[in-house]
Amino acid sequence: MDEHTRFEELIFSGTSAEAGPQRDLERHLQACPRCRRLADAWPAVRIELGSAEMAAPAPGFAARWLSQLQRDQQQRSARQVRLSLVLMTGAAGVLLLVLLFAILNAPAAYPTAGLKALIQAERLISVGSELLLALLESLPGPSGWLLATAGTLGLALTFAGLGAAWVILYIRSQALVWQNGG
Amino acid sequence: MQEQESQWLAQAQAGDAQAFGRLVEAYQRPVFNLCYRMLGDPGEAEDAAQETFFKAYRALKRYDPTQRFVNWLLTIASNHCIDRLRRRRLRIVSLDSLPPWNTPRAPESGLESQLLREEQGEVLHRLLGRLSPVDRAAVVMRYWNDLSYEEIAQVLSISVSAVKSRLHRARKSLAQSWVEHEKAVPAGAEGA
Repeated sequence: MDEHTRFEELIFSGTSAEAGPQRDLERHLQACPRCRRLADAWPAVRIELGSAEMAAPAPGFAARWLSQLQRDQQQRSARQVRLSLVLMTGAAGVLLLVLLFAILNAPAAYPTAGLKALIQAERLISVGSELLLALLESLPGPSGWLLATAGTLGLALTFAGLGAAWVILYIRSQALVWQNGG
Repeated sequence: MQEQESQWLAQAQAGDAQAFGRLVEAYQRPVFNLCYRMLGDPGEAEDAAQETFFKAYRALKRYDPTQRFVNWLLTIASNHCIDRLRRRRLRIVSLDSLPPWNTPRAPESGLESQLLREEQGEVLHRLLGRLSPVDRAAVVMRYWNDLSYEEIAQVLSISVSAVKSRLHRARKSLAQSWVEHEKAVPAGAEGA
């Protein structure tokens, strides 16, 4: 450590030195104009630093932050909805492609297999409905056909609800995109 | 305040954005001041301060309550500003090339005292502009936020001795710049 560095530490330490080192510093400052200038300048800088105001943001900073946060959250949920729609559509597309590929590979087998599956499904449904009707007729209260109609209506409404949910999801995503200016 | 802060923090950690909004209200000034002193431009400081609070909100679950919340915010703000300054350096823009330093403050100041403070602010701006980003952050935290050496070390992720050495270097550099400023503008000539 050279002589100047030692005295600079005393100048900028911010605490008053003991009597001995302070005397040495005074002696050095009389002989060294460079250190003298620094020793004279530092208190002035210190005053400037001490009196400088803390800068304040323009009024409404927190409100701007909150509204930006809301915009970000809306954009994020719109992105999620869009992503879900894209994934659902993509999955349906892939399934269709697989089916198309399989049909094209064996054009004769698929109509036969399809018909067989349809007949089996029809049999399954008729057996199921007969069982259900028998069960309903055995029950006391309103007639069986009324309950069967209600069940069919319930199923139809469920499918309609699922369709509506898909449409609402899509419309909501479009509305969010529109709200955020695209 | 401490109790209220803990309550807002708990609510914000549970997903209450309004509670975090109250924390933004409470700490906007120290965060904005650091960003402003670091970057030197009110617009850029606003962006940096807003981004600081977004980062804090997203990382709230990682906040360590043993550290003061404001110091945690200052850590995020200083890292963000240092990154911005590094990117800015790539564009070769120095603080000296920025518009004059007009400290944004509450509107109650009188015109005369505001002019005087603006002059002083400009001098301080030039002096601070010559420091490295980390040295500048240390000076701001020491003289505006009254942080101890230990707290500055924690905020800047450096050792206490490194803080002392950086502050010593910064003080010397500020004093040297002051001497040069005095030579260029003799006392009494300023503002005349």
